Amino acid sequence: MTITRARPGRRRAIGAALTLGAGGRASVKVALAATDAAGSAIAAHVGNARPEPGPLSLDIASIAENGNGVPVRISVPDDGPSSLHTLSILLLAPLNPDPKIALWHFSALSATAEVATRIRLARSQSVLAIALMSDGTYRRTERAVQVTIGGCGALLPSPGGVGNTGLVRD
Amino acid sequence: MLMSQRSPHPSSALPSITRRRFARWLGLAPAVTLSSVPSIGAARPRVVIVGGGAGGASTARLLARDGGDRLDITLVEPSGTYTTCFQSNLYLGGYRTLGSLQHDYRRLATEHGVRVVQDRVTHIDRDRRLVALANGEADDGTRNSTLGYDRLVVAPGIELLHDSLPGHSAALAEIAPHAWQGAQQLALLKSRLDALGNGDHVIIVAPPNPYRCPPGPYERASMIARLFQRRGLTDSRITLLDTKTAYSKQALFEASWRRHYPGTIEWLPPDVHGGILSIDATRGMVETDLDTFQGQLLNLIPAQRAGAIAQDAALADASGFCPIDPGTMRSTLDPAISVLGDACIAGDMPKSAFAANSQARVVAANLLGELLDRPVPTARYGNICWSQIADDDSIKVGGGYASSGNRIASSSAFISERTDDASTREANVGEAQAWYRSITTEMFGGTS
Amino acid sequence: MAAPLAEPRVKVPERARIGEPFTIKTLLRHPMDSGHRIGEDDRLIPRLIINRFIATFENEFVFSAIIEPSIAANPYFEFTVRLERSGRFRFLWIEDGGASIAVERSIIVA
Repeated sequence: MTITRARPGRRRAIGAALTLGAGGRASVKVALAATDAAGSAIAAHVGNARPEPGPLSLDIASIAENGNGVPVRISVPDDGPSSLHTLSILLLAPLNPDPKIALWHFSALSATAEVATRIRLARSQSVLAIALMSDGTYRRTERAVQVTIGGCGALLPSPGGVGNTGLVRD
Repeated sequence: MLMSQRSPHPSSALPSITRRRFARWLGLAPAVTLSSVPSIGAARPRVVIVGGGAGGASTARLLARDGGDRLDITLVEPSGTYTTCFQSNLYLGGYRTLGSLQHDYRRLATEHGVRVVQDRVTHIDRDRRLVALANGEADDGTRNSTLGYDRLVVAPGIELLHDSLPGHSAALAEIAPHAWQGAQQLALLKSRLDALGNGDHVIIVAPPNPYRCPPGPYERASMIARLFQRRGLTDSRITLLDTKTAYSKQALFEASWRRHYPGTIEWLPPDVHGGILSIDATRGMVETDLDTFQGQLLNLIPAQRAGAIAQDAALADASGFCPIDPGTMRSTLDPAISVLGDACIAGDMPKSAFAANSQARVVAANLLGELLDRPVPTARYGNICWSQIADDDSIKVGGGYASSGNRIASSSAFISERTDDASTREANVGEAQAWYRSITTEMFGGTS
Repeated sequence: MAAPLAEPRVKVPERARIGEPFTIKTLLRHPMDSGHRIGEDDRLIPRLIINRFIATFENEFVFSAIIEPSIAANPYFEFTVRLERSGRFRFLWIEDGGASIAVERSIIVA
């Protein structure tokens, strides 16, 4: 099934550098600059648009014991009576060999613009989410995740967080 | 069954060593009041040890070795033959015989001067310094007998909380074995595994932290996968339903599973299965929020807490495990009692036989210091956990620990690398075997 | 070389009220070989992943994922839906090379 989006008046600019909005984090900029693959994936997705920080939540642990299956939940909060809705969410791990993780599309039958999944992180990095809204604007947010191997499971029961042996290997 | 005749608790003269010095050995401020202990030259100080596993037996042996006949040491353990939980997965995987896991206490009793009582402690009277035995016989013919102690070492291991799994119970463990304690359960799981056929599905439910042997469920999955492979059961598989979001040496296990047993082992954390809603052991069904899983064999390993006697004696806190002073291993709730092994709260140390044996050294040194005025080194602990995955592939993790603030904290650490070459992983196999011989010799006093 | 795709696990509630949001959970067992891993023979294991997941309701598009190798093995997706009528969902997974598997689930909406 082919999914098409109407994007009036946009031209794709392959290889155009992504420019960050005023609130952009230096670390993300450096991370993106470090990987052409991530930069061109983003550029191919947003064209000339500039993703801005906005209501978009990226829920992921700041320390991941295992980079092979890191739970993540991305959601765009409901704007209430506004007619603005989310068309898609793109998730990236800029320092992975394959920086694109997935592109999800929503529909009129979607109750919320929300998806949960598990991702692979090859190393510690900032994970980046970009949401496309129905007015053609892009929102973005990122979260830094530290990836460890984790120790001999003297892990404490969880609510406030995980106590571990402090083994950090990355 | 060896029984001792207990003489009444002698009235205690003031010790020749001052209370202040006792307090220092206990790591307490000098102002704390202590009960007196018979001085050297009077009746020997009596140390009673509850539990003959890695923690208790090691403590008994170390006290006997270094205290000789200056101490009256009694070990109370219900089993006449002790089957080590550690390395029991290797029996399931076909790498060890059941007999090689089994040891008795004869040498400890006859060659090392430990009075071994095969019985179960039913009650600890902390005020009168007595333990009650389930089957004991006393001189006067009463059924329950008691042992008086001057110092008590409590190492009862764990109690399995079967009903922490909805729909499960101790009785149903006959159908859905845990094999996390005791020879009977281990043999039961082995026979169930041997009866599996091609296409059969094993479901392992792994417990929440803290529990005995953190990498254990994953080593077990590896052993079952090996059994499948050796028997040519190419369509059989294993699902691990976890109650935790991550586990010990996870990246290493997953890499080795992909290498040795591709497609055989599936691990689902709570955020994927959505939580275990109910278990029907007789039908082999585990219902989760995501779906109902059906297996020909359920290996249900429930949540755990310190052994029942520790609960009964009010030595455990709200966590279910026993708080201890990290420099001395004394219970923070009773200065005359040391707690070690799986039952205690040991900070960064995992619950393992290696850790229990390491803690036993501190327990013994501390008691020898207090009772026999021996020098007490600063407490240092260590642990190594080996997990065997395939014939020549074993991974390990471990470290050093020390008292820091009010807990035992990691001071150094190491872990197998994903880039280990084959010879390193193979060497770990032999290293684990050598350690097994060494710790069981220390516990039981030589091959038994 | 590619094993046949195994039966997925899908959670769809049996019933929901009209317009009431509910959650769907899907899990497919698949190694999601990224093409970056070196195998036993010291050679790269070629890429073989599920690259599409598509959910429809009575042939109407609901939700989809265009999937890349950085999705973890055994791809898991959880998403929400709101319906006005009863009917059948269809969930489709497509692997590199075109192999696919689909499952259907009915729901009563009243």
